[in-house]
Amino acid sequence: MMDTHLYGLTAYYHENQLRAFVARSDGLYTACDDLAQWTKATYTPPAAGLPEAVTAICSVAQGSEMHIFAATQGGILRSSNHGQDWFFAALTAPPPVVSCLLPSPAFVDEGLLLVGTLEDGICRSEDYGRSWSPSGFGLLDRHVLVLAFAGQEDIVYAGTETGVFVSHNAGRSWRETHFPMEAAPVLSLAALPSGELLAGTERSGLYASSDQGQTWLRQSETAFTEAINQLLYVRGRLYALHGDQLWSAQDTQSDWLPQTQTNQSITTAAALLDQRLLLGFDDGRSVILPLSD
Amino acid sequence: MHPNVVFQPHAQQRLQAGIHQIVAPIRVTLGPLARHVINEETFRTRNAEIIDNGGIIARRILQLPDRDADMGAMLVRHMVTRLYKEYGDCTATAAVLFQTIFDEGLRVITAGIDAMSLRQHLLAGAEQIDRLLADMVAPAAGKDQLSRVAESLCHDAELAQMLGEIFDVIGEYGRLDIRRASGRALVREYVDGAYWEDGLHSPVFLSGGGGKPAELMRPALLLTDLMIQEAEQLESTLYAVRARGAQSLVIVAQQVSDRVIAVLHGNALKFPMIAVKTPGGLLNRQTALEDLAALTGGRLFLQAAGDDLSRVTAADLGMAQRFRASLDYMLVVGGASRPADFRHYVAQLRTYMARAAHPSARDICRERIGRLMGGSVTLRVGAFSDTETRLRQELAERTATSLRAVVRSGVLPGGGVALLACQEELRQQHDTVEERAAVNILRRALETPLLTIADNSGYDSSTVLARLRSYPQGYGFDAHSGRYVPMLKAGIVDVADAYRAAVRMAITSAAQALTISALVHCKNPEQVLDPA
Repeated sequence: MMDTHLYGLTAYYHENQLRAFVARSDGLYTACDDLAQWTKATYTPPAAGLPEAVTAICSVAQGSEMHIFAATQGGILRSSNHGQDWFFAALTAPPPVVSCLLPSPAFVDEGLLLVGTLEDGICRSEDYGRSWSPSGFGLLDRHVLVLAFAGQEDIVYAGTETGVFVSHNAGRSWRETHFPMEAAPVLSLAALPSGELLAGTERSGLYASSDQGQTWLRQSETAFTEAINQLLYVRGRLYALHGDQLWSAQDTQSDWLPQTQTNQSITTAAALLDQRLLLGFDDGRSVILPLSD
Repeated sequence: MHPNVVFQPHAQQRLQAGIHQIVAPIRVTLGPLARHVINEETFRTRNAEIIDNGGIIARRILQLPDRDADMGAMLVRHMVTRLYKEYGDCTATAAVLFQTIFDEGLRVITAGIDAMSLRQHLLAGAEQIDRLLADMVAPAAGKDQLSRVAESLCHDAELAQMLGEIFDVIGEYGRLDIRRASGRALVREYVDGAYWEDGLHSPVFLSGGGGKPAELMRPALLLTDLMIQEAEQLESTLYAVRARGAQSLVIVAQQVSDRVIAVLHGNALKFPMIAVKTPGGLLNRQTALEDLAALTGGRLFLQAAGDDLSRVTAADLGMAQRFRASLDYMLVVGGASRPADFRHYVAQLRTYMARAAHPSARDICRERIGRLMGGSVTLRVGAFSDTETRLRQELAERTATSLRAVVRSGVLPGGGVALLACQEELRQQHDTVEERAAVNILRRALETPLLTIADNSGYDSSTVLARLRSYPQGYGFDAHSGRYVPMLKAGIVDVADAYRAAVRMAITSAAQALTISALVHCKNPEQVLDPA
C-alpha cells in the first residue's frame, strides 16, 4: 500500500470470509481473503474539487444485510452490498470534515446514526443514512473527535477538543460533563457494560467516570504518556491504542500492561469475531493481531 | 382632602370581604376540570374575553366598588400578579391558600391571639413547609416525562407531545418562538445556529432577486457599534479579510451609509459582503456584541472605547462556518472562537444568571445562554378558529414557561398532594398557644388546594380527602378519572419552583395581612381618576 494516513477501518465476516474496509487519505479501500489484496472502491465523486480522503468508516449489520458507511467530501457514502454500490448523502454546507461515524445500538429498528466533525459539530440521521441534519444543541465545542454510545441507546458521549459532552436523547441535544478541560483533547472513548466511561486523551493519559461524566479519576498515572488513539472493550477485556503499543487491562481497577509493540503509531483498530484485532497504522498499513487471553 | 381612616374591627372585616370577592373567580380555575371566567370586554378587541388563569383574572379586576374591600383585593392582586409575572403558574393555589390562612387567622385573632406573634410563627411554618417541599422535588427529564407533565398543564395531548419533544432538546435555556399557524397545524422547526432579531441594513443584500435571505459561507465578521459613513473606513478590514483567508465578509455595524452599502453590493460578485445591524436594540447592544465576539472569536470595535476601524487586523475578525440574514434576523452557525474560551464565557454567564437578583436579569441571561447554545425552535400553533388559535397560542406560551421551569427546577406531586404530605411534619410542632394556632391554621390551609380541585371537578371534597388518607404517601386524586393514583408516576405534577414560591408567598402575604389594623384612604378615588 502507498504511504498515506489511515483514519479508520472496519471488518466483518461474510460467508466465512473476512471482509475489511479502510478509510485513508487517498480514498476508500476494501479487501477480502484475509486481507490478501486491497482494491480501491469506486464511486461517483459527489462534487469536483473536494479532497478524496475518506476520514471515517463503520459497518453495522441489519439482519442478513451489512451496511457500510464511509465519510468523504462533506458527506456519507453508504453501501448495502459489501461495497459494490455506493450512495452519497451530503451533510451540511459548507462540507465538513468528518472525524467519526457511529451507528446507534438501535440502528436496526430506528435507522439512527451519528457523525462527528472537526469543526461543524454533530449530524444525525434517522433514516439509515439517507439524509442528515445538524444536531448540536448545547454542544459548546464543535470540534468533535470521537463518539460512543453507552449501553442504553439514548445515552451517547462526544469527545472533543475541550472535553466530554453527554446526550440523554440519542444525540438530539448535548450537555457538558465535568471532564477537566486541562486534560483535553479527548481522542477516544469507551462506554463499558458496567456503566463506566473511559476517556483517552492526547497528552494527559486515561480518565474514568462512573457517574456519566460528573466526576473523573485519572487511571494509571504513570503508564500512559502518549496519545491514546482508541479504546476498545473486546470479550470482557479493555484495550488501548497507546502510541505504537497496544495495551490491555482486565478492567478499570486492574493495571494496564503493554501487550504488543510496533514500529508505527497505531491510529485505529477494529475487533474481529475470532479473537483477533485488525490494527491500522499511521503510515497506512494494517495488520491482523491475535489476542491473547 | 382629609385622609379617611378605617379602624378595627371594620378594617379586617372589609379586607376579608375584598379577599373573598377577588379569590372567588380565581378559585374556580384551579385543577384539571376547572371552570372559565368571562370578562365583559377588553380594551383592545371590545369582545368578551374567556379566561382560565388566576393571574389574568386578578389583573382584569381593576377596582372593587367598596374602597375598603378593594384594599383586601389589592393584597391578593399584588401577590397573584407577581407570581404570574415570575412563574406564570400556581396563581390559583396561592389565592386559595391566602384566603384560608387569612380567614383562619382572623378567627384566632378575634379570639385573642396576638397578630404579630401569630405572624412570626406562620413565617416559621412557611420555612418548614418550603424545606419539606424541597425534599420532595423530583427531576423531570426525557421526552416522555416532559410530555406527560406538559399534558397535565395544558390538557392538549398533541401540544403536550410537541412541547415535550422540544424541551427535551432545548432544555432550560433554548430559544422557543411560538407563532400562529394557518389551519389547525402544529409544526415545529429546529434551526441550527445562534439567532438574533436584527438583520440586514438594506434589502439589496437579499439573494435570489430580493426574496431570499443572504447566506454566506465561511465569512469573516467585523463587529462594531460604530457608524460606517465612507468606504475608506473599511480599507484595513478588507486587507485583514484577505489575510484571514475568509470567503466572504459580514459587517456588523450600527449604521452603514447608503454609499457604503452601494460599494458593498457593487462588489458582491467578486467577493460577497453584507452589512447587518448591531443586534440587541438600545439596551442590549453591548451584550449582544460581546456574545457575538465570544461566539466568533472576534474583537469588538466600540464607540465608548474610542475605537476606530483604521487598523483592523486579521486577528480582530471573527469567523463562522455559515451566516444567514434577512431583513429581520441573523443566524450565525459554527462560530470559530477557541472552544475553551467559549465554554468559559458561557460558564461565566451561567454564574451571573445564578447570582442575578432580579428575575428580568435572569431571563436576559437565560436568553443569551440559549442563543449561544447553538440552536432554536419555532413552533407554529393553529386551531379551527381565530379565537381558538389565540387561546391555543397563549396556552402553548404558558405551558412552555412552566415546562422551562420544570426542566430547571423539577416537579412536585400534583393535585395538592405535596402540601398534604407536609401536614404530618407540622403536627410534630410543640408550641405555645400562638405557635399551636399557627400550626393549626397551616394544617387547615394545606388541605385547601386538594379540596378546591375536588370541588371544581364536581366531587365531594371531604369524601375525596377522607378516602385519600387511606392511601400511601404520594397517592393523590386524579380528577379526570376519579381514581386515586401515584401522582408522579401518573404525570400529575406541579412545577417545583412555581409551587414553592406560591406557597411561600401565600403564607407570608397572608401573615402580613393579618397584622393590618387600620386602612387609610388618602384621596377620593373620583378625584384620582378625573384629571379635572
